[in-house]
Amino acid sequence: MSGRETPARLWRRSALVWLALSLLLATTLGGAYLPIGVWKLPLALTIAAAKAGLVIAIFMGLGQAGGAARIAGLCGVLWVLLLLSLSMTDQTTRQQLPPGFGEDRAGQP
Amino acid sequence: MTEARHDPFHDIARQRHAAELGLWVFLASELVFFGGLFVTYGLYRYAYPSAFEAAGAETAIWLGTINTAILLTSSATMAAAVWAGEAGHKRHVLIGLALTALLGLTFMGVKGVEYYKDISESLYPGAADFPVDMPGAQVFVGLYWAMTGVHAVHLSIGLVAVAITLWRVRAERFDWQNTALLHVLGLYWHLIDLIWIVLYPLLYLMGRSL
Amino acid sequence: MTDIAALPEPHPATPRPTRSYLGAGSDLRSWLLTTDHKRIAILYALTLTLFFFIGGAAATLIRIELITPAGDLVSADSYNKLFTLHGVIMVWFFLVPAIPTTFGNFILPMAVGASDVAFPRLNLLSWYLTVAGGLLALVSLLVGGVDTGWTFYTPYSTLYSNSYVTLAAAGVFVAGFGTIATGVNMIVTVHVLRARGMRWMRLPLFVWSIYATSIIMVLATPALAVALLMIVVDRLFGLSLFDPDQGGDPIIFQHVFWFYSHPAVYIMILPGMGVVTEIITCFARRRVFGYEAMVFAILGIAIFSFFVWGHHMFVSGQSAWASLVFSILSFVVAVPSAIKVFNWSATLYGGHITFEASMLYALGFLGLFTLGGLTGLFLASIPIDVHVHDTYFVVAHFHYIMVGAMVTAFFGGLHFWWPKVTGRHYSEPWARLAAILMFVGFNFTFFPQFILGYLGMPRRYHSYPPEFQIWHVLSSAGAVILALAYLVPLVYLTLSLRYGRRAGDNPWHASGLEWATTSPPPRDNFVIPPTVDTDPYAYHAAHEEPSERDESGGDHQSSRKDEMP
Repeated sequence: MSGRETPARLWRRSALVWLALSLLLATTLGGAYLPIGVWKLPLALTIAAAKAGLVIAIFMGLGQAGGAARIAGLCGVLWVLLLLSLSMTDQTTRQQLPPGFGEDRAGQP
Repeated sequence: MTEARHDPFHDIARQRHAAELGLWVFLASELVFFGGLFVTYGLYRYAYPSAFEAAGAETAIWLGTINTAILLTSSATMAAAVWAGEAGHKRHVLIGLALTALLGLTFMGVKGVEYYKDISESLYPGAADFPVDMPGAQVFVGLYWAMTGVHAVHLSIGLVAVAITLWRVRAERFDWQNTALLHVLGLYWHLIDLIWIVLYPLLYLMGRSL
Repeated sequence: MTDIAALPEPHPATPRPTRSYLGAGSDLRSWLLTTDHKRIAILYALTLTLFFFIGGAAATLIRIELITPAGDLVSADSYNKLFTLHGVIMVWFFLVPAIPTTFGNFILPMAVGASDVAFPRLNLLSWYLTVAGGLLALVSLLVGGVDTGWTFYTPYSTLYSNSYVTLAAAGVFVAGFGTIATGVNMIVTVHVLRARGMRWMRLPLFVWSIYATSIIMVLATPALAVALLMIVVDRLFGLSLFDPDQGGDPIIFQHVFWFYSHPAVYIMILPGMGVVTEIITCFARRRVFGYEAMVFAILGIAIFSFFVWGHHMFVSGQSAWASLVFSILSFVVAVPSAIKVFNWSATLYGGHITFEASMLYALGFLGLFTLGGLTGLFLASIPIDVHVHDTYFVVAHFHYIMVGAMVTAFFGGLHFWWPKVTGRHYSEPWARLAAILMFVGFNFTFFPQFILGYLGMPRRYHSYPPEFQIWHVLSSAGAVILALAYLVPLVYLTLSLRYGRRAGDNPWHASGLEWATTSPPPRDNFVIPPTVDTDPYAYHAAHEEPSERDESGGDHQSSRKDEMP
């Protein structure tokens, strides 16, 4: 941050981000009622990501944070995605078997 | 006011850096903590898409939206408090923190009203007249309670921390301008906000239609 | 990662007292309220020793029960509670915190040239959390016990078990926060408090291994916390998250649980690898072979450990495709582990090896880790795992890693750094005897279990068909030796505190900053903050052949020419 930021300036900055966040909130609320079927979740999550991005970049000051801090935050997100994606390999194929896998089992009690 | 620098650091810049890095590492940890719940939600949602929509339509969307707005606002006031701290405007630090605490309390109040409403509408697992009769619907509601509950616990911890900091800044109990404490508190508060930003669409926006 | 420039000039050298950290008071208050990382390390060491012997007592009872095929000593129900107690206490209150909180706490700040960890008060809080968690777990085990096994599998743990699951889970949950706090502390200490000139690629491999372990602690432990939390809220509030009647899927719990619990294996073993590297380089008088490869292997293990958890679920109903993916990924994590074994061997090659007690432990580690690792590859392969899953083969495999490798490394580190911690020498002959006894007793206990498992003896059973008895008797006999071997150090290490010879600052002529200060070290570790201008393990220049150990240091190291190969 610059040395002596005036109170008016910093409140204005915070208010601008708040305004953007509120608009996104209104958008996502409206989007929930759109008849777009399976696209509802991706839309809602994209808007959530945009909101989160604003909070992280400006409120949390990721730009001013050190490299290690940025890597740490990124790791948190990546690890959640890792848990999700690898366990999804199970969930999405639970009822399937690789070719030739079922035959041996069929004869067994 | 006590000296800002303390052992084992030789200079205040490095000490600030350590506190910030430490909190970011902790935030990564917290993300995985909530990530476990998000992933559980994701896997169940894949298994029971329609039950999740049907049960998702039962949550109190207006209370949830109001609470989202409250929490977003509290992040804005918290950010202002932190920036004011860096610029040395004590009065604005106090205003920012007080507003944040007030908004946090309001959130908890609204949440309490919502929980009361949920219980009176049998929106809890094992309720005798649970509104949605589909496999997986109770799991959704179980997750709703677990996720919002854990979030509320985090918010309560945040509230206590904000209140203590507010008092300590007011009484000049620590060097709020040079240490990273305000910044670190802000990071934690914003994390609570971030978690809610993701919870809101998952728990309130699914299965809505006009 | 190097986002911090060199340390600025330290504060003008205020003459600090050179009194040792032990001299800062001896009343209870000076220990229980200390923020000195060295004292906290000792608090941890005492606590963990207690838990180790509690967990060990449970193991002893298990082994006595299994001498005869009939379940005659304890009931089936008590047997379930015994192995749960053994697992819970050993995993979370010994193995996971063992090295990071003791040697990590004591040595790491010194090894990077710092006067303490980055957050000394948080460090003390970690200890209190560990103790509180341990007490909760102990209480749950004393008032009635838990019978779910250390894995707390749903839906048994949520719907059926009427034992004290909630209390035990809460204990582990609380201790988990201690672990996370330690992880944060270590990561920040390494990032921020390195001495001047201590570049990343000059860090001792012990520091690297604790750093990598801390990354796993921070990123994996919350998954355990949330898995346990789901059990607890399920039990307390009936949220039925994993209730099959409501469409709940217990396998989802297993995904979250193993997302912690497989990396946790590396939380246990990585610090051991670090300790062993320090010992092997010191007693082979050699620069470590392939330092960079070791660093990347450590980081590779830390990261890949998160990609393999599904190999615990091959027979749980996980999809066959997912099992394929996890099987392949599990083989990948073996690569960095193998790199490390090869590099240790290459470090020994041509070295000037002496067989001090800690070196005996390190060499034992090498063999036992290799055996445990290779049987791990068996289990990563689906057909073999389907055959031996939930048998004693698995039990033997993970005990080779956790006891054979990790506990051996712990004892190695204990003997290596004991003179630094206490300023005293222990009895070397007794120490060697204990090391050899431990190795023999360990193999005696656990090798028969590979055979038992392959023959089909399932784990967690308190009675079994008579044809397995011979192997169980062998195993139990080995356990007696092992138990005795664990008691021996308790005696001679305690005696050394009073009667041990003064060790001097660097009895092993080891490199590393922790040896550059006095033994025991002063409160702030160094009288003058150190600067570093050499690479680690500077036992000789890279191009020189290792030479006779320099005995001119004037310490108590007697010449051991008779033992040279």
